[in-house]
Order: sequence, then C-alpha cells, then structure tokens
Amino acid sequence: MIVAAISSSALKYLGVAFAIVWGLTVLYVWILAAKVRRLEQQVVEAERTLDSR
Amino acid sequence: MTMTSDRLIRVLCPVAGVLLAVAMVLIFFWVPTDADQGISQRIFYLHVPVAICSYLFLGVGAVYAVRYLRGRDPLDDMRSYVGVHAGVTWGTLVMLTGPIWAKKSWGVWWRWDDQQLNTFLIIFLFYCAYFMLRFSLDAGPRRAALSAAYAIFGIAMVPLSIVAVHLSQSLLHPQLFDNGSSAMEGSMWLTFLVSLAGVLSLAIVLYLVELRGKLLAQRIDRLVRRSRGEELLGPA
Amino acid sequence: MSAVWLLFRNELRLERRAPQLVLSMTLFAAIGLTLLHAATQLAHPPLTLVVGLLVVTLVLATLLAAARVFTAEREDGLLDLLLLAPIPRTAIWAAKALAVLALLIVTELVALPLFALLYVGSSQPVTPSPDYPLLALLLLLADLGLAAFGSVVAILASATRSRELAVPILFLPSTIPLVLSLVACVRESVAGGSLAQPLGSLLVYDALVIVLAWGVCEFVLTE
Repeated sequence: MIVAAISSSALKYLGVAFAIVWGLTVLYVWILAAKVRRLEQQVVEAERTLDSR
Repeated sequence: MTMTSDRLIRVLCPVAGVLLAVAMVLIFFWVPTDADQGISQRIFYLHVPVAICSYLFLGVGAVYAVRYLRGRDPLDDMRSYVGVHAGVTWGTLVMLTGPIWAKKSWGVWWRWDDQQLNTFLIIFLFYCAYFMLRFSLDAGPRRAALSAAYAIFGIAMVPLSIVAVHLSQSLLHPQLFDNGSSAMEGSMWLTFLVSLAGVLSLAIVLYLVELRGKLLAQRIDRLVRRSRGEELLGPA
Repeated sequence: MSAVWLLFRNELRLERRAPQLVLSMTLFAAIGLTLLHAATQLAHPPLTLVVGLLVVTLVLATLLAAARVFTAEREDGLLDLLLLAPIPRTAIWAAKALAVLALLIVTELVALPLFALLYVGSSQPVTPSPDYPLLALLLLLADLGLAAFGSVVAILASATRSRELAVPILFLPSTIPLVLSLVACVRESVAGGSLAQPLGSLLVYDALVIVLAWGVCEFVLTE
C-alpha cells in the first residue's frame, strides 16, 4: 500500500530530503554522544593519574 | 546519574532515528492529504511536535530552577540552563516552521489574531533574554540564583500571555481557523504520535548530551586548575 | 513593614534632595508624547492607538528607573550593609518597588494632563474622547505590575556586567501581556463592550507578578 502511494514525485523528493536531514541529525548527535563518552573516560584517567602523583 | 543518562542516550538515539524515519514515510507517503489545507498541512506533523518539545524543555528549565533555589545544587542550575537552552533552540525551529505553514495555508506569514503564534512569540522573546542575563554574570552561585529567578518568571508568562493574547483578538475578531485538530482522523493521529515520539526522543538525547558536555567542560576546567596548582606546589 | 516604610521614605528623601529620576522620567514622557505625534500624524488618531503608544512611553520610562534604582547600592557597597541589617530581604525589594511606583505615578500626573492638552484639546483630537477616570485607573493598575517587575529587573541587572544593556532586554518582553490587556480594556470601552475580562486579566497580571517578585527577591538579593 505504501509502495503504491509513492507516486507523486514532488512529495517523494521532499520526503527523501527530510528523511536524509533527520538521519544526518541523529547520526551527528550519536557521534557527539560518543565523543563526550570518550572524553569523560579520558578525564577520569587524568584525574586518577593526578591523584596518584 | 551518568550511567543512566549514558544508557538512555544509547537506547533513545537509535529509537529516535527509527521513529523519525518511520514518521517521514508516514507523513509523506501514507497519511491522506488534508481536505481543507491541502498538502501544506503535512508540516503540522513536524511543527507541532517541535513546539511541544520547546514548551516542555522551557518547563524543565523552570522546574530545575525551583529545585536549584531550594537545594542550591549546582547540578540543578546546569540542568535548568540546558533546559532553557533546549527550549529556545526548539523554539527557533518553531519560529521558522510556523510562518511557512501560515504562508501556505493562510496566505500570510504572520497572523496577529492567532493565539498560538503570538503567545509563543512573547515567551520566546522572554526566554531569549535569559541568555543575556546569564552571559553577563560570572559563573557561580549568584549567576545560578539570578538565572533561576528569571526562568521561574518565564513560567508565569505562559498563562499571562495566553490570557492577554486571547483578549486582544477574540472579542472583536471571530476565530477563523480551528487548527484542524477537531476533525483529525485515526491515520492523522497515528502519524502525529509517531512523529511526536521521534522528535521527543531526539530532544531528550540532545538535552542529555548537552548536559553531559557542560558537566564535562566543568570537570576539565577543574582538572586543569588542579594540575596547575599542583605543579606550582610541586617543586617546593 | 516598618522597615519597608523606613527604606521607602529614605528613597523619597534621596530623590527629593537630588530629583534626578523624577525629572528625567517626566521629561521622557513629554518627549515621548511629542514623538508619538511625529510617528502617527493622523487627523483623527484613534484613541486606542494613542493610549497604546502612551502606555509604551510609560513602559519605556520605567526602564529609566529600573536602570538607576539599584546602582547606588551596588557601586557604593550599600547593599552589603543593607543585607547585614536585621531586615527581611523582601523589605528591600518592597521599598524599591514602592519607590518605582511613586516615580511612575508622578510621571503620569504630568503625562496625563499633557496627553489631554496635546491629544484631546488639540486641532487633531483623538476619537473618541477618553474616559479619564478609567484611563487613570488602567494606568495605575499598569504601574503596579511595572513597578513590581521593574524593581526585580533592577536587582538582576545591577548584578550583571552590562547593566544598562540588560535592563530593557530583561524587562520589555514581560510587559507585552500587560500592554495587550490594557489596550484591550480601552478598545472594549470604546466599543461599549464588557470590561470584565480585560480588566480581570490586568489584575491577574499584577497579582501574579507581585507574588512572584515577592517570592523570588529573597534569592536574587545577594551580596
């Protein structure tokens, strides 16, 4: 049914464009979260070495 | 806190991706075109969830502002700030998508007799000023207390603006449009709810990531100062 | 309560000795009323429009008070002494709010006759003629909210690095609902409609802002 509805080409392009923009946004947020997580670990390590000195 | 926030981000981020993808399919290929407004009505499925997110995070900002003033926990101050920041950021999207919809369905970019538009504008302006206050104060308990007080005032602005905007139009002008919600079909509701869930989970992830980023910056700052201090003390 | 009265009288004494704010606010209102004509230039300006612009002028005049009313305390370290004194912090805010209220009332005592002279008795009169008791009541109600929130903004802004810049940005957005309700009152009275709703909204605005300012000032008055 959905496949049958994909007929209006203007709508199709708009829908794909929106989907790509949202996809990139989510991906970007995902990368940011991973970066924050990695930096947190580095800070914990740095704090530990500072404590042991 | 970090553990649960980390797990929440890991779960909600893919969920947001999937939900938004499904929402796009539903919005553009599945849901029937609105009989009154035509194709432009489809922006409703994005505009309204974004507006709900904006109000929601401004509310989060105010709730944590109250909590800060009660408990003086710097973490609450940070949560309140990130909440307001998220609210204003989503609000900017509302201000961008609102006029587009207005132009397509009413033929004008702005309607001074539309309640939602004008209430939102007042609250948006109020909370934009929050940053002016916050960034002209030095970090510390004073900045936290003053920002919290201002954020709490903002919540009072919501009912006040709604009443005042309502009065400014309803007595003389008839309400022309009833934003369509009265005649929403099941398929429209489903599409709207999926889109709302997607935007909401993305918004929550963004909030958590920003909060953790801000806390991280604080920790790094403390670490740098500590290491400098110990280096100075070291040789002595 | 006696502390509020004492502080308030002190404010008045200071202002009487060197009437800086009274003079600048009344002069500002007079300039505003002249500018207002320059901005409209209508043969028969509608009352609702002119009252709306008059209210905006008064809102802007409040900015002058809000920008000045706490600077002495901050600059001369007076605030630290006040906070050490055995008086509730709400009293400090209340005294300031009353001072701003008094300044606004004095400003209106000048602005309202001037408005009558320039916009009712002139060659280009407003239509219809205003209902003066109602107008005075509306302005007084507006003053309550303006003074209550204006003094909180004065406290907030005096703590920032960019005082004069912060005052209008922090203060003006919150006055939009106030102006909306007030102009709705005037419009309804011109149209012969019921004033209950807009007047009620004005009262709710005042009540809510005063209660919130009262509750919050304890936290914002810090050394």
